[in-house]
Amino acid sequence: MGLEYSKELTEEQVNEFSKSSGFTKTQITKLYEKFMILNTQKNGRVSYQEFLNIPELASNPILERVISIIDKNNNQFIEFSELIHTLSIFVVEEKKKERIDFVFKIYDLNGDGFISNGDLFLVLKSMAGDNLKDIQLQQIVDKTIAKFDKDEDGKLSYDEFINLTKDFKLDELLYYELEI
Amino acid sequence: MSISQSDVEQALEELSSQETPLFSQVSYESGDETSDSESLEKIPRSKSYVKLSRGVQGRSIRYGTQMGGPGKSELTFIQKRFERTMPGRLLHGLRNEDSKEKIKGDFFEAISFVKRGMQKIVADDFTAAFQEKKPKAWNFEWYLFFTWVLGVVLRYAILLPIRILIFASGILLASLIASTTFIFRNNKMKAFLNKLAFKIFTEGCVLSWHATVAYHGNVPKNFRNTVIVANHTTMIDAVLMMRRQLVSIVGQHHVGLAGLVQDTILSPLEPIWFERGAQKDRKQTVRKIKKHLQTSNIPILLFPEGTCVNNEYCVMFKKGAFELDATIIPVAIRYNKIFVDAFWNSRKKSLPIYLLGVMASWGLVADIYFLDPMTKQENETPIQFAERVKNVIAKKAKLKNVSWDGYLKYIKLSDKFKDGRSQVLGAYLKRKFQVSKMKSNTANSEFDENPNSRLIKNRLGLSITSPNEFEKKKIK
Repeated sequence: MGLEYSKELTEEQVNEFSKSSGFTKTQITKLYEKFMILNTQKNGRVSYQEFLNIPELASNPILERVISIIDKNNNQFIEFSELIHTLSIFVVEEKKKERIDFVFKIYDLNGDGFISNGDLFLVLKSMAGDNLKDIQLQQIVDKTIAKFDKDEDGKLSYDEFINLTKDFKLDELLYYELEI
Repeated sequence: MSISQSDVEQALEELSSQETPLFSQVSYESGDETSDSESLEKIPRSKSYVKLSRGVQGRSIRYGTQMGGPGKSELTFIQKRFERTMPGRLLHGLRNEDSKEKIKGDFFEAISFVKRGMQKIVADDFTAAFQEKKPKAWNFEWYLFFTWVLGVVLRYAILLPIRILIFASGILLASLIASTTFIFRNNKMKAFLNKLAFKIFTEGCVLSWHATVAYHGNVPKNFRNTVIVANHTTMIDAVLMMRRQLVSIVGQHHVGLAGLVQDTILSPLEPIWFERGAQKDRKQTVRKIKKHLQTSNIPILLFPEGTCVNNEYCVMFKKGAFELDATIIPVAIRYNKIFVDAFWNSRKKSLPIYLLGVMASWGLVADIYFLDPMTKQENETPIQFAERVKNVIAKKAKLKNVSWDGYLKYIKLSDKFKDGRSQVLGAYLKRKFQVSKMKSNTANSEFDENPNSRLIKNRLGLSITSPNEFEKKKIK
């Protein structure tokens, strides 16, 4: 109890978020509470550093990529609207394509619609750091791309990507039920 | 070439034998060059930190002085330890994911992390362990609402003032009696008066909270060389324990009136106080504890979690209490939340406000379970022993068992600590793809030959280190 947030959502804000994301009003309110807990600086937006405060997030190697994709306006902060929007992708069953897109974006570093050799290399490099020599990392990347690159242009297009996700249901793996 | 599930498992097995041992095997601090106590010696003394007492953070009875969290240098120590042990934990997580998700794809390590990341942003155990559980509103019908209002009036207008009175008079009376000990020379008289004051004090407290406590289990008669270890939810824990059983609490010695109370009213407990500011005090306190264990029949009470937890979770037990070569009696404390949520969130509420809150509720209901004594086995490390005791307590008190260090809520992790987790991932990828040491001659071979390839920073996209990459970016 008690006002621990610097701002609370107004009725209309709750309605707005609820409509745009598909969450119920209770869920929006609770998610906002969680958002304010994350936001230790209490300035209405969560920075990368604040995510690191949670030990379970800090040990997630792909945290930075995920956050940079959630951060659509690229201002190095996550606003509540951005978080809600991304979260809805994972908990709304119907958004299958969006989930696959999300993973594609993780690997498509420069956003050109292709997962190029360089893209994949840099993403894996960020995850593995200096613990894998560049040569070895390059091998991994080469093997992977070669396996799925049908038109042999040295990079994976969106369709080729969809192809490889067919074997296991990627969109189902990413979906989970929100318990809040 | 695809890697079978069993290949991955095997790789993980090998990895785990090389990497920092897994958390579940609990050699949590095995990466240390120095032992825990030695490295602590070098850390400048902070106000409230003692290797062992982690949680009985001194008694400030009425004056609400800040219950100390750990000092700055301890936090650095804890932060570094977390960063060092994180690879083991990550590996553990990887292993779990692999056995559950059955992701067969080739470069989809990312997937489970993406999902887990999103899940944890919304709900993670660490934050949850220190949040008050919000009570469900039941007053949504008009007649329920009316009942509720009646209840509020009863509690605040009638119960609260009475209880404050009881609490105050308990302390006053106890202090009065305790002060009369200075009149008497006779030690026996002094002891008697202190004991009386103590009784009045504890009963006054318990009455003012309207505490209804059921004690279960067998309490041994002989407490020589015994340490009682319990989960920690609030300062009230200690009072409830000492009411049933004289327990030697370990805490910070205050100055002034509170200190006087500690010296007189609480003296029947044979407590161990440590002074602030004295660097050698840590070793001395350990010595005092060990001496007490050998000579006294009163058990030591310790809270290995080191901080108050919300009575839904049980966080990491620090090993100090388990290195004493003493018999451990685990005690599980469970509060019934229907009446009041006894969790003291010291970052949110000061002690007086918290106590007033407890007094303004209907009452405190708790179950305290004394469990069977446990001793450290021959082949166990203190940390493994601590885990074992923790499991017993968490099970009895129906708490969710998590392994986070309570003090992590005070630290901020540095950016650089990504190195630890990328270590694990690198090794994992190596095994999974059975990467050889041969050179490749493909598009990015400049990376191999270019001595500047090491300049690839972790921050993605910030540096362009090969002409190839630059071209690609330009095309965009």
